[in-house]
Parts: sequence; C-alpha cells; structure tokens
Amino acid sequence: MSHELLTPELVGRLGRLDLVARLVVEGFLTGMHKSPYHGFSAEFAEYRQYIAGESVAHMDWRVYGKTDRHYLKVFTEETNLRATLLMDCSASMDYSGSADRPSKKQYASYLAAALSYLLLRQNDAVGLVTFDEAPLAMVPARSMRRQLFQVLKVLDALPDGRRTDLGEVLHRVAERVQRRGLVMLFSDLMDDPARILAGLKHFRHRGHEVVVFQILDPREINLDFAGEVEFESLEEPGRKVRLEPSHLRDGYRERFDGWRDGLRRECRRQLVDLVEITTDTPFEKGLGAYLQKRRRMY
Amino acid sequence: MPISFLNPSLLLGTLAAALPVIIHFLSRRRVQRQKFSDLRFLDEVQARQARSLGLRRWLLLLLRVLAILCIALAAAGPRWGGLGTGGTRSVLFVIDNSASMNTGQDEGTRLDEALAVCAEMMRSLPSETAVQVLVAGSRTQPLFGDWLPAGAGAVGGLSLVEATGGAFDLDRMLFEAARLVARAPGLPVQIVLLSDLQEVPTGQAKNGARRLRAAGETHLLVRRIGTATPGGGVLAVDLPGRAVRPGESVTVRARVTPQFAEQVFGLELDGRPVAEVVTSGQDGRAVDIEFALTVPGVGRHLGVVRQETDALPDDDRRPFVLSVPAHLNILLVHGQDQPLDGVAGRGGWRYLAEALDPGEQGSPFRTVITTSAELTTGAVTAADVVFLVDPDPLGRRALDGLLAWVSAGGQVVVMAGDPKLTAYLTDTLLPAAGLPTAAGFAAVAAPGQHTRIIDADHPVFSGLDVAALGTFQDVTWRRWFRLSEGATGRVLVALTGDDPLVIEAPRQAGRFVFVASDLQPVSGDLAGSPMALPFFRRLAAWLAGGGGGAGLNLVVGQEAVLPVLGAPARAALDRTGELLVRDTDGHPAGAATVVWEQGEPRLQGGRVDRPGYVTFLAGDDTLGVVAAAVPAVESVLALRTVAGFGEIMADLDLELTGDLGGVDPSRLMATLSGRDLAGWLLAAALLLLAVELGLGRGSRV
Repeated sequence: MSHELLTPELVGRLGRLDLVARLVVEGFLTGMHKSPYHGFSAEFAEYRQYIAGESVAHMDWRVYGKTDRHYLKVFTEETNLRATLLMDCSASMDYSGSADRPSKKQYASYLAAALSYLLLRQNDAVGLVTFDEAPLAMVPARSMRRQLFQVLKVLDALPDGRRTDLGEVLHRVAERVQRRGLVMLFSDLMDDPARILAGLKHFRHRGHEVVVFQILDPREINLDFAGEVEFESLEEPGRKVRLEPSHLRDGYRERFDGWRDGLRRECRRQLVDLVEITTDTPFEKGLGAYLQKRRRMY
Repeated sequence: MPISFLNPSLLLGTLAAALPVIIHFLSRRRVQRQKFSDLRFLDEVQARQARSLGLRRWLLLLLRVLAILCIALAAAGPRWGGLGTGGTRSVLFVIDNSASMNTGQDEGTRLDEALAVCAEMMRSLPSETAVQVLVAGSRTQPLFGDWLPAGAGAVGGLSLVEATGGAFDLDRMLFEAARLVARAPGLPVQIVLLSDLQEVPTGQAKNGARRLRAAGETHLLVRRIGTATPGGGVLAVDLPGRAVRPGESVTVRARVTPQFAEQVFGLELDGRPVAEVVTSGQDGRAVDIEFALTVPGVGRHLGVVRQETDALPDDDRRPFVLSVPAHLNILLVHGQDQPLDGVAGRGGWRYLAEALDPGEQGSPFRTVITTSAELTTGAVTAADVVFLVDPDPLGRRALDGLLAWVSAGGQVVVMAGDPKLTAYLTDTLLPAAGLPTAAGFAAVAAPGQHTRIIDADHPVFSGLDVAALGTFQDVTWRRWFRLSEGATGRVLVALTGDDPLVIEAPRQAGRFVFVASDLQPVSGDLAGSPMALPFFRRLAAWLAGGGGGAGLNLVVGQEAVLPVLGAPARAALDRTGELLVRDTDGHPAGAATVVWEQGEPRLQGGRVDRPGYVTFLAGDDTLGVVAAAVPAVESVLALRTVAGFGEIMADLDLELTGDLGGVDPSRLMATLSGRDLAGWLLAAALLLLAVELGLGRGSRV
C-alpha cells in the first residue's frame, strides 16, 4: 500500500491501532530512499532481499558474486533509546472541525501508535503517559515486542478528557521519568504557554530530549465558520460565546498566530523541537520529525 | 420636484432594498452551535471588536440596502431637473398657424420660427418617441395620418404646414388634441404648444378641456413665439344692413386699430380708392371710423378697407363684398276687402303697394300682389320680402311653406288693423314668431299718439338726418292691437308711453316684423306723412338685407356659403356638374356643393383658409363672391403671457406644466425629462458594492 493513501481520514476508518501503526510505518519506510537504520550501531542478524531504491551500503557483494542476487545485510541493533510518549487527553483534544477528519486526540493516538511501532521495531524502548489535568495512565518504557500491545491498549481506550493543566502535569511526569531519553508530547498545547514551557524545561533539565507534536484542527487555525455561531467550550461545558466568526476572523488569526509564534520562539530557546501538525496532515510529517530528531541524537 | 422617473412603476423594485434587512434578521435567527476547543482567543477578539463589528455589520447592511436602492432607482429611469413630465414616449406638437402667426419678424414670420423650433425639438427626441403635429389655424387638424416616430420623416412633414388667416380656436384645438391623445401609442402625452398666444376667446373651451382630461394623462407645455409687434389693422367692416340702391349715399363703418397718429385708412371698391378717413388719435386701441360712400351701380362690388402695411399684412386689407341688387321683390298678400265693417275695414295694402312701387322708373322694388287665398309657395320663395296686410288665414300648405321660408332666412312683415284677425294672430302668427300669444284688440281710442324711435342707429333709421327723424316721430298713429315683444322680440317703434307699435322677432335664419296697425286712413296720418314712403321702403330694404352683404362677408376659418338668389342663380343650379370654387388666391379649389336648407339651396365652397375673395362659378358664369377677412381677434396687438395662458388653462381645469420659453429646442428631451441619473446611480451602486466587499472582506465563506 502506498503511503500516499494513508491520509488521516483513511487511517481513521481502519479502526485498529496496531494495523494503523504497521501500515503507517511500513508505508513510510518503503518510500524512503535512505534506510532509517543507517549508521546505527548493530550486530548482523540476517539477510534480506534488496529492494530497488534502497541504499547499497549494506549490500553483500560476496553473495552477489556467488549467486548473482542482491542481498542486504540486516543488523540487530542494541537498545539505545528510551522514548516516552506523553498523550494529552484533555477535553480540548476531542475537538474535530469536520466529520471527515479525526479529532485531535484520535490523530495523536494514531501518530503515537505509529511511532511506538517504529521505535519498537528498531528495538528502542517505548513508554506512554496519558494525562489531562493529572496523569491518567502510565506504561513504563520497555523495548519488548509486547510493549507495543501495552501501548496500543492504552491508546485504544483513551478516556474522555477534562480540563487541561499541562504545566503541572509535565512537572509531575518529569519527576517520574527517571532515565534520560526522548520525550514526545502530543498535545494541542491549549494552556498557558509559560507553564507549558516551564514543564518542558523541567524535562530538559533532567536531560531529556523533547519533541512536542502540537496537533491542531485546521478550523481552529482558520476559524472558517459562516453566519452566527454559538461556541461552547469543550473544557468548560456551559461556557458559551456567541459571535459571527466572519467578522472576527482576522483578529482571531492575529492572536492565534501570535500565540503560536510565542510557542515556537520559546521552544526554540529551550531546544525543544516543536512539530506543528494539523489533523489533515499525513502522518509522515510526524514520523519524519521523529527520525530527524533520532538522527541528531545519534 | 427636481427628480422624476420615466418608468415610475418600476419604483416598486425599491422594495427589494428590504431583502438585505430581511436576510439579515433571518440569518440572525439561524445560530449554529459548535463545540470548540478553547474560547480564549474568541473571548479576546470579541471583547475588543464587538463594538466596531456591530457598527460594521450595520454599515454593511446599509451599504447593501443603498446599493439595491440605487439599482432599483436606476431601473425606474430617474431624471434630475427638467419638468418632470414622465418621459417622451408621445409628444404632440400643436402649431398655431392662425393669422397672427403670419406677423413678420427679423427673419421670416412667427410661423416660420414655430416650425423651426418644432423641427429642432423633433430632432432632439429619440427615435422611439412617437410624434404628431396638430395644426391649429383656420382649421384644426392633425398633420400626419397617425403618430410617427420622431425623425427625419416627421421633420420633413412640417414643410406641409401653410400659413392661414383664421383664428386660433382653443376649444377645437383641445378637442382635436384629446382625439389624438386617445390614439397615442404611449402615455403620458406631452403637448407642446408653439403659439404667439394671441388673444383667443376661451369661453367655449370647456368642452374641449373636458375631453382632453378624459383622453389620458397629458402635460401641457407652451413656448411662446414672437413678441408683441406694434402695428394696426382693420378689425371689421360694417356695411349698411339693408339693401342699397345705386347712387344712394351710405355710410360704411369700420373698426380699425391705427398704428400711429392721424393714420389714413382708405376704402376701395373694385380696385379704385373711393374714400379715405384720417384717424384722430392712436394709442393702439381700436376706434370706429366712417366712410361716406355713394353706392355704385347694380352688381357685386369687391371692396377693401386698407391701411399702410405693417408687420402683419393680412389684417391691413379687409375685403368685403357690396352687393347692389337691381331690385327687391316684394310679395304683398292681403285679405278680402271689408271696407265698411264699421270698425277699421281693410284696404290699407293699396297704400303700401303705392308706397313701395309707385311705378316710377328705377324703383328698387318690384311688387307682386296676391290674396291670402291665392298665395303659393313658389310666390313666397321668389320674393325677398313678404308683406301680409290684414291677411285672411292662410291655407295649411301656404302657411307651412311660408314658415319654412322664414326659417331659411325669409323676411315677413305682418300688418294688422282688423279685429277679426285677433284669433289668427294669437293662435298662428304670433306663436310662429315666438312672441307672446295674447294679441288683444285694444285700439288706442283716438289717433294722435306720436311715435318714438327706440334705436335711431337701427338700419331702418340709420343715415336719416335729425329733421327726417323728427318728422317721423311727429306722425300720429292708431294702434289696433296690443302686442308685447316678449323675450325674443325687439321694439323698433313705440307709441308714447312705450306702447309697442313695430316689433321685430327673429325665427331661426329669418325674421317676422309685426306692425300693430295698418295703412287705413283711420289708423292715423301715416299714410299722408312724408315719412311713409321712406319708412316702409327702408323697412323692406333692411329686411331684404342682401344688399348690405349679409352672408357674403365672413371671416377666415368659416365655411364659404353662397345663398342662391334670383332666377339666374337658380338656373345655374341645373348645371351642377360645372359648379366650381376659386379660393382666395384665385386658384381652383374644387367643386361647390349644393346644400338645401329649409327648402332653400345654398352653395358650399369649403372652409376658407386665407383672407380674400372666394368665387363661385357655374362654368364661365360667376354665381357669387364671398369675402373672407382675418378674424378681428387676430389683429389684437396684445399677446398673452405664458402665465396668463396658464390662468386660462387653470380656469378650464387644465394644468400648464411648463414654459418652454428660453429652452434650447435641441434639448427638449432633457428639458422634459431632466438629466438622466441612471448612470450615476449605477456607478454609485457599484461603488457601494465595492465598499461593501472591502468592508466585508473575509466575511463570506
């Protein structure tokens, strides 16, 4: 299956997270010209047939000389990365601007599942923490094959969220993730930027590399509503605002972009990778961001 | 109001301006409800922009409403200024070509200017405008068979308009305009009157005004042509109102308007000047002058009263026809003589016959005497005047013929002194004349009552000197019947104490004269008076009338009618195939028509358009001549102002919409409808929409 077909809309229809994860990752890897494992410190494990387009760096020329066939040498790597996925389950993550698109929480779970699959496939350890205004569930990081099922099981049953207190939660989680590693946060970051950055700084302080996947719905960005709309807050049920978005759109965008610019700037200053993703974006962007980070780390 | 609309009905489109408002309020009711992740930013922008957005929302609504209003108003054909007459779909030009329009100006005449203005106005109209031209002069008739599109064809048709010498008939003009408006292809009809607004009689115009109001929506616009020009004219010529005899001295009166002091007015007969009068003063007002004239020989004499030619030549020469008959035919009808009946007796008719026709050579009267029993219709119609003196009751046929003859213009004198005639007078003759029917035989007991002339200027007495009038009033009478003039009669002679003696009573075109006495010696000394002959001769001559030109002198615009008199004329009727008319310019004008009225034949030669002489011919024989002069009203110097004309229209319940004086004729369209605002409004609509789009940018998804 071509990775181009794996749009969020299509993935959402697959339903099963394990299937989603595998399809997303395999499709993603097949399309890459350069092996994501290149340069990894690993021991030889087996041969596999060369696929056109792959690097010939690990081509076994001896086998080629004897059999006239192309085989690549596959190495078994050592576990050298502990990745902890932080999944924001607050109510704001339940927002979906269109019936055709997954909610932010669904999108985050798909992406987290795919990354988990990818990480475990290369023998990295994966852990998961879900939270809203407090930590909800925690799967300690391990590199076992079954770990994927543990992670997916939690991702598959994410609870309905409540309010967000992202800054506080990040502090608390940072205290509980002991070993240094890669922390990947999936959130819309709908909270006080200063408190968020303080929490992220806490991770950095403890030696973690941090990647933040900010997941937003396109309608949150563009506010493309027509007519008069009564908006009700997902995190604060009962709080409503009635207005005509068409008349407020420019001001809204101005403020929204300002908020995002602030986040970008602070993340850059804290050496936190901020990956801005909308729920209509193919998952490759998230996976690519991870691999880029992985490459920089090793 | 400076703004008007070509298609006011399309103003209903302005109701569409309510659509944005309706949509606005409907859309406000349809509120979507959406769950949203975070209201933080919405709260912020709403707090800051709520007020300005509210204003902008209303401003956008206003812009939309205004834009639609502009488009709807543009569709209705808005015009700024002008007369607000609602467009130029149909324009009726009324060109006054009455006599006064022939007044000369610096270039051409008033009519020339009117035609030039009309042509230029027509050229200024769009081709979709329907135009018609109503020419109002001696006759009032449309120039085109039907409404034409404005353009070269219609303009070219104006060359057919000719000057006439008639009067502007306002009632007829309104009547004809109403007829044309009713057939107009589109309403309202703009009626553009091009006239010098010469004084016109307006009293009879209410019928035409009523018809015009009922015909459809019209707007009456006036452009006055020309200015009041100093000048004089001959307004009327008053010939002796009786038959005249060759060699008789008569007075011809004329009413003239001198154009300067001591102006000379001349009288010409048959092309020769025969008399002159110098007016004593002038200030532009009409004065009466008198010409002393010796009647020429028997026959038709073409005369003219003239003055020095001024700007309007048509009224400077007023033609007339003076007819001098060879003789007057008198039919004297009397009853059976009853000389010794013990009261008054009869036989006075002999004195009358002697008075009228003494057998002298050259007597103007030819008398035929018959009795009541022998009276025939033929004898009546062959006579100029019939005298009934103490008549016996006439037979039914004879009476019917006599009354028909009177109705057609015949003249009858009834003289009675026999009391046996009381019933006949009461039951028959007085009712026939329309006089009160009580003819009481109440003789003034004794003779000796002097007569009194009621009106010394009456044609019977005019021209008599004081001595003659005194002699007549010295005559003593015995009045046998007490008569009354009633409502229609007129007393010519009375006895002392206003007791009527001679009463004139018209019956249609003819006339009865009752004399409450006869010429019996016992009736007074009239028979022996030196005034007996002059009185009855004058009475007969007046009644015969035609010598004064009655019926032969008319004004332009009237039908030329020639009574057929005398045996030669009647013989000419046998040659009806040769009856022709020559118009005032001497050109053949078609065949004359024979019309019988009350048993009497008349020749009709059609309506006269120009002043001059209309000649009736039977082959090479001239049957008669009729003189047509310019109506006196066309000689009046004063022109009405447009405001004055508007007052006349107001009296007729017609509104004068506008004065086109001073308006450039080539801009008639703009003058009537004003400046076209549609383009401006459409541009404004586009501008408003552009502003609306700019203000509401990003608000439409």
